[in-house]
Amino acid sequence: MVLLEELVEEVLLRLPPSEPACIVRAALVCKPWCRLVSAPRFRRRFRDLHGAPPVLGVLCNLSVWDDGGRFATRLIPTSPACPRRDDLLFCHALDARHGRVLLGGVPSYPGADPLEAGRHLAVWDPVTYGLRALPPALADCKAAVACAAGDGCDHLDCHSGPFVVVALGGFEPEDIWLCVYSSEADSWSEPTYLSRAPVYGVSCQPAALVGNTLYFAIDGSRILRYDLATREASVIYLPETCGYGNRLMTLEDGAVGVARVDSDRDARLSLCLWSMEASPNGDIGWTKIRVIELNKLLPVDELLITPNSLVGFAHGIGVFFIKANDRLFMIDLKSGKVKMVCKGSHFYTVVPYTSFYTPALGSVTIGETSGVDASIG
Amino acid sequence: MASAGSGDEKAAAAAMITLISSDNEKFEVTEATATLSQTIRHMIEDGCTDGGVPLPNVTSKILARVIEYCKKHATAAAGEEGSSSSFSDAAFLEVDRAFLEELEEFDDAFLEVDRATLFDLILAANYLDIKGLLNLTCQKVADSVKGKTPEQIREMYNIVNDLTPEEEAEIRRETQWAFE
Repeated sequence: MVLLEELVEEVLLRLPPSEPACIVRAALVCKPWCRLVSAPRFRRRFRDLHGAPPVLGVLCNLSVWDDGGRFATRLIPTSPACPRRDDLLFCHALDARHGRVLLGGVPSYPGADPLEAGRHLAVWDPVTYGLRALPPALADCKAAVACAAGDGCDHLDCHSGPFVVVALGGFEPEDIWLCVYSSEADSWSEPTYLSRAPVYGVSCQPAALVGNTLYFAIDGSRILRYDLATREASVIYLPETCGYGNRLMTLEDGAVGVARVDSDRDARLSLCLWSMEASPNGDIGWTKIRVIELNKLLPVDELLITPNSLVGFAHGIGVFFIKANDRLFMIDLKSGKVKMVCKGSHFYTVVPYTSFYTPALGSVTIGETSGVDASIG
Repeated sequence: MASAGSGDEKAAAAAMITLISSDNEKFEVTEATATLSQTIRHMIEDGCTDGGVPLPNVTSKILARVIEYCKKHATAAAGEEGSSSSFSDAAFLEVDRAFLEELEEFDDAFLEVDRATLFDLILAANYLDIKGLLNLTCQKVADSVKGKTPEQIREMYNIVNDLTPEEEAEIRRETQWAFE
């Protein structure tokens, strides 16, 4: 009563992508199973079967005080069945997309000027541990990372391929500057100067990617739109009712959205979502599409929910991260499930990391998988 | 006899196919039921079903269960096609939900079998290329593997560990987080 190998594959393909430990433990059953889950064929089929990659963890930007005090980025797994990684010291996560994490403030050399830290960016792959430092950006900046293939790629297995980083910065009275880094050229483009920069600089919320267009909230009222294909940039305006505290996101239907914790009619704080609609003549309109009553979802006193409670979300899959009472909660709007990810007050923003995790494991699999495979040694 | 809606579907449903198990038992099924199997669908398209379809890899015991699954799910498919064009209101959605729930209950009850039967059903679903049944049965086994240690999985499925202690230690070192 033993399953044929071909059918073992059918079974193991159906292990949950949100719990990669299941696949790792299956790999330790015997050699054939180990080779099976490490093979590129398995990885490809696993991704095809499961669609959108799951949230494996959140990158928390925090201050570590137990060892002298310094800043670090920590990948906190969203479940015990997700991989853990060592803290990345002197870094903060700016953005994560298509299996890559964009880090800012990366120490380039010992004794580097800390004021220069904001210019140093790197792209990190938490699955393979690969880290690529970028040449210094024009100045301290806000930035987003994306696969270079744009909408010609399904972004399920492109994390080792070429990427672009779009950086922008500037302070009033200057104009906002925008530069694009290409991993293939390993260089930054010349800056493009756009609309007048905000007094306190460009806001530091992660950007939203919809189709081939990146949307950055540059301040409380303006969005900078950058098309990765045509390389055109333009500025659009947020709904007046939004004000500060807006977070741009990709909605589940692929539209541009704004998320914000806002008070409802009863003065209770709720998570509100707006959807952007562009009319044929180019006018931009915003429609409030959803109000989620946080006090009914979260096991905390509603007084502990503040407008700053929304600390992050995973684009396009309706997963939100709310910080309340020193705890970080993950809310999945589709399933209605709420999960506590971690405790502690020392993090200020979180960037969710979504990816499939099907690594090549151990020397048993060497020679049976191609060179670009994820190895986590 | 099947609950197909339009005239065309009735004609298709009326066509009967004979399936012959490995132990030579004959099963008469409607074409709508049989074509849930891509393997049989192709045979019908190629016109090689006269005189029955021999299935040398499937016993009568397993074939009877497979047909039971296909009958239920063929009805479901016909129901969806027939009604979605004419109804789109809440009442229809309600009926639809009740039907899906019933189908789910059927699937759950269908999976209440011993392990040997479950494996035979997987083999048959794979051979006959019935996507829904393959998904259902494999998911059941995957759920039983989920959350188990490698030792427990080996014991459950009588698998011999042929990894050397060094290989095992290497993998555990690389992925320590998965075992804590």
